[in-house]
Amino acid sequence: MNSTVPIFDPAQLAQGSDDDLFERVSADFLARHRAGQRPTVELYAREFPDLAEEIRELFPTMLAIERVKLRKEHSSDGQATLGARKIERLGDYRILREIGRGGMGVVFEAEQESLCRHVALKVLPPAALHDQAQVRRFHREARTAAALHHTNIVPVFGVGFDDGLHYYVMQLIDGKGLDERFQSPDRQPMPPLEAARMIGQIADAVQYAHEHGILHRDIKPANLLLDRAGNVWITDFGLAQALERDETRTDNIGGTLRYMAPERLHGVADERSDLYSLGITLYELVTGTRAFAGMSSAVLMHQIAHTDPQPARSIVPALPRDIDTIVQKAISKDPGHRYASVKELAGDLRRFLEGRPISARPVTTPERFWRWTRRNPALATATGTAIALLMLVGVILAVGYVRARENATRLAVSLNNERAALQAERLSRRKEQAALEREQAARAEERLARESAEAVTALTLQGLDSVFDTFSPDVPYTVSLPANAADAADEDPLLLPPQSTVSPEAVAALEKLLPIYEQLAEQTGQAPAVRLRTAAAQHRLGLIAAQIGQLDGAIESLRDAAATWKELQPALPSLTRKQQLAHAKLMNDLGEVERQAFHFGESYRAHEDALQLLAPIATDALTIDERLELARAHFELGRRMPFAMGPPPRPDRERTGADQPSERPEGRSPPPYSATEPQPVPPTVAIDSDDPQASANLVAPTAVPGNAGQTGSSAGERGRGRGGRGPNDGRRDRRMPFDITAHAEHLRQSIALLENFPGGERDTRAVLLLAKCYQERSKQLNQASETLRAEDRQRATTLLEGLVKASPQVREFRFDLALLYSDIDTRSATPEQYAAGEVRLRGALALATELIREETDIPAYQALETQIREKLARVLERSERHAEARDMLREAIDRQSSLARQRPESSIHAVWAVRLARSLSDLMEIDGETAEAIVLLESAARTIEPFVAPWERRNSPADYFTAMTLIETYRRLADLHSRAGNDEAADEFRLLAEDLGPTGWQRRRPTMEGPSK
Amino acid sequence: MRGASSSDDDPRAARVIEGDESALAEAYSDHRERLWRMVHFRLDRRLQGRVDADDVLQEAYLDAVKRIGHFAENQPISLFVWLRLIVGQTLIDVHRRHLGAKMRDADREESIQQRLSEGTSVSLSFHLLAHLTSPSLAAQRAELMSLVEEALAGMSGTDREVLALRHFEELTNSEVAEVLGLERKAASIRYVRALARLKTVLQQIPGFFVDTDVETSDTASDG
Repeated sequence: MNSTVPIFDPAQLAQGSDDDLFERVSADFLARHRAGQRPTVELYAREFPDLAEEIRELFPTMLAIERVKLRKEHSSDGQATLGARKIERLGDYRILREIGRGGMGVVFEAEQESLCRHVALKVLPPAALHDQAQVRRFHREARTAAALHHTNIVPVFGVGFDDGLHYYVMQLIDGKGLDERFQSPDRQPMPPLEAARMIGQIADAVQYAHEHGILHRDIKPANLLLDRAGNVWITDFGLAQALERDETRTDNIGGTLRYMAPERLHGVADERSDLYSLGITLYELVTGTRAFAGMSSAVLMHQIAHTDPQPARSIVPALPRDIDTIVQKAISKDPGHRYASVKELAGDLRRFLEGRPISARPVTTPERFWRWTRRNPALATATGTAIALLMLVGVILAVGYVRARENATRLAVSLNNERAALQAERLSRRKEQAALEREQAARAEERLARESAEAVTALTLQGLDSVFDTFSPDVPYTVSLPANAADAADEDPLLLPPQSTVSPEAVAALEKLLPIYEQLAEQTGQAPAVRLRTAAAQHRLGLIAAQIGQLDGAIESLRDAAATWKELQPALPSLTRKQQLAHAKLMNDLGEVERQAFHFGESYRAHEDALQLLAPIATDALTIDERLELARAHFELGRRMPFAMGPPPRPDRERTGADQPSERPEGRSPPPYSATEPQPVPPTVAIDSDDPQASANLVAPTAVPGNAGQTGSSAGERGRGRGGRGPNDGRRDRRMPFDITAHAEHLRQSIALLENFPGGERDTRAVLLLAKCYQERSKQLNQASETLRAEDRQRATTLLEGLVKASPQVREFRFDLALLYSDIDTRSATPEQYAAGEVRLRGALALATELIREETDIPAYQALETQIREKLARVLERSERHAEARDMLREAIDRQSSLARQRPESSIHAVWAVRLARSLSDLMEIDGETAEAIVLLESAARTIEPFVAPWERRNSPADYFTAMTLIETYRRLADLHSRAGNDEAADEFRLLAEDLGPTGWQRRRPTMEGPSK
Repeated sequence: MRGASSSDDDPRAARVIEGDESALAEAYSDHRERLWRMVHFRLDRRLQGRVDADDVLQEAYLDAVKRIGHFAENQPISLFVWLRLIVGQTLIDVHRRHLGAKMRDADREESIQQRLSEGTSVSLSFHLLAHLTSPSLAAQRAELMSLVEEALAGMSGTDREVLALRHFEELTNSEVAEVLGLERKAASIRYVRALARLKTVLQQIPGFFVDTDVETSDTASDG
């Protein structure tokens, strides 16, 4: 039926029937494609020049759907099917019954009529062979396989092609695949002797093939057949190779991947890869358990590359040690650790069967550990150090304590005795004095023991600290500067080069080390010093997590650290300056991370705390690091908030009646986001809205800047005081004090500290911060003082360009410079300003691209790049370069969407992608592409829907930001739909938008709590 | 068969109207592949492995024979579309039988949606893949395919249906028009529009069309 597609005849097609030309052409293309003719898109585009654009545009999409269809048809449940085909005969072969299905085809029992013999026919799915080259390869492999003659290899008779189907003819084996053992629910481990015998036979066969230069590449239980006589056969030699490009197989990769050697994930295969697969098969036979349990290809690939299967003997305790050893050796991750050849494996299996000693020796625990460290070097070194230290401290502490306790007991006993003696004999005061002295001596001994234990603890702590340091991201440039290096050694161990290659795995492992601190603290009687080290470790962990973009984890760790400090404060009446500094630095770091997460209230308070810690020190008595942290606190407090206030207050649901969701206390306006047109800013980049209007509109309580001792947490309290009957009783008010002069004053203080920085330009940390201060100040100056603004911008630019020039290798400098370049006002500018802006933005883009090339996995870099592109698009659009603007936005969306996909744990990347899509849809609408704009926005909206919490459960500014984005997108969609005349859809989106707001909440509210006023 | 025009001009239609069962059998076997596809793609995921598409077709054929008069009563309807209708009803019965009373007719639509949205865990696995140094190209491609499925699942009901009919069930434009009760022209426009929308979605998958382009430009468009 399908083979009757007529020859491609454009002239014929061009002559019309009922359907239009594109319809006819595409139907023809599809018919040919489905018949296996593989016509090219280009051929059609050339033959039908009028339709060329449409063809090039849509045919690839058609092919994509066809591929999905094939995949679904031919591989439901990971098994090949022949799809809709029902076959009764192929060439000389009459199909009798289906025997089985595998990833690569359906196996039938068939009768070869000319020879009157029964054979097995493996029919490949119609899509298995893509092109002639692959068909040739299939034939070649089949010929090679047919040349193999071995008692345990299923003989191949030949290949054939009929009715569009390729097939493979083999001897019919009356038996079952070993995989069937896994399909019965009560699967049992195979007796080790039997398994060893079978795998031994197969190993012989594989060895024989290897000697003929043929790899199997797909050894797995399903390819091992056990006949009624108890012999095992291996089948499908070379088939994997022949079908390598086959897509239907890749879908089924789970089935095949399971037995695949780790090096094959990198495209490397040799004899030892087959050997590995044999080993995994043996493992599964003797344990009755999957070596790797993953169900998806991604999980499996990860397991294969990184984890060892559970030791076989822990599953089957009775398993002979030698079998375990043989399996272990065969399935080593590193091919070099395996047997050198399958022959050696066969030899060991034989020796095992004969009861002789095997050649392989068991892998010892240290060795396993060692191998693991080779796969995970950095982490392993760190963990190893920690474990070694722990063991050491365990032993020493135990000994020390036992001794101390013994002494104490002895002391108590002897004291009692002596007291008794004293009483009895009523001896002189001199004797009593002696006893007292002895008691003191004993106490001293105990103290000594404790001190030595503490010393050991300190040693351990140091070791642990160094583990965390290894992964600690921190100011990289301080180390390279001699002045600071001295300081660093003296002051703060955090100053170490960053390791930007920290993986989430490492973070998880480090997290596991944290309890060790707690344990140590406990063992040493909650010694405050030890607990401070805990805080320091939490601090480091937080920084590491922040660096890899795990904001939530970072916040948690840093908050824990802050809590530990707070708890300890009463126990530590007099902190050293160094400790004060460490605490202040923690609070500044916490503040920064909170800010990135849009927790502006928390951020503000953290920086206030930092300020409070350092403010008491006289300015000229500040050390360099203290000065820096103080300046940092002032700077952060001097920055404007991207959304001038926190989220709107919300009625407390505990109360009834009085608090209506619609009634905002003190006539406070609804969420400020809509009013201030939030500049969509990826939080990882954390720069502010550059809309000067945003700040001007806001009135807020005043905080006294620069006087941290008094400001305290006044922000929240004042807010409440003013609001009177606070709707947020029992919660912290997240509103921020917002006062331009307060911000400006903080900024002024920061700049004052930094401009007079000892060592000046040599301390890059100070220079960088100063540049940021100038930049911030330029934004806060009102528009009237354009000259001053420009001056500040120029100052910042000069400083940053200087830094980049002096240390081109430091990425953070380039990052900040790119940020500065991209910080331009795209709203109100003249054409000349646009031109200048474009130059700056292109410079920024170049920097960002460079950064991404160097470090592909840092979200902040990617977010920065997207943002620059967005701004460029805006500039291009204002300069009447529409098409370029659209391309730029499209690119930005692509990248941002990909970032969102890479970081699904954080909604913000997706939100930002949606906002970009909205900008693009605006342009599309201008170009009259309403329908396309709708498609774009609808699919964009869908990506963030899962992240949006209902109105009453929105707690953080980030929640609001996400929700507002979706609401605005829905509204926009409603507009677009009504413009396109789809009133129904428009209404639907209007309702959706409404539903996300307080109205929706009111509607959902239980009636008893219904509005009363 | 494929690419052929509507079964309106199927000479067997007249014979089936007359009640000729052998004509019905002939037509059924001619259309078997496409009917199989319909069953395959619309069979509930929960029934996979329990219900075989061939069995459903068998049952549907018996229904068709039983209700052969229905074809005449429902003229004008093309033979294929009528057969598809019968198979669809049988499929609903099968679902009801296996999944109980909660099955509604509307579930037929949901069912294809389910089939299509199986790839939802994809983003996660894609994410995991990113952490592997060099995942095999093959697996990556499989993931891309899953993304297409995801994109399809995310489309509006009409778009998805028209693409499913055209591609998964391999209906011709005129058959789609008949099934959806549209003019041929309108059906064609709807199809092209759905394709364009899908393309817009796929375009957002970085590297998607790059990959496809490479494939289509080497030896042949890839299957």
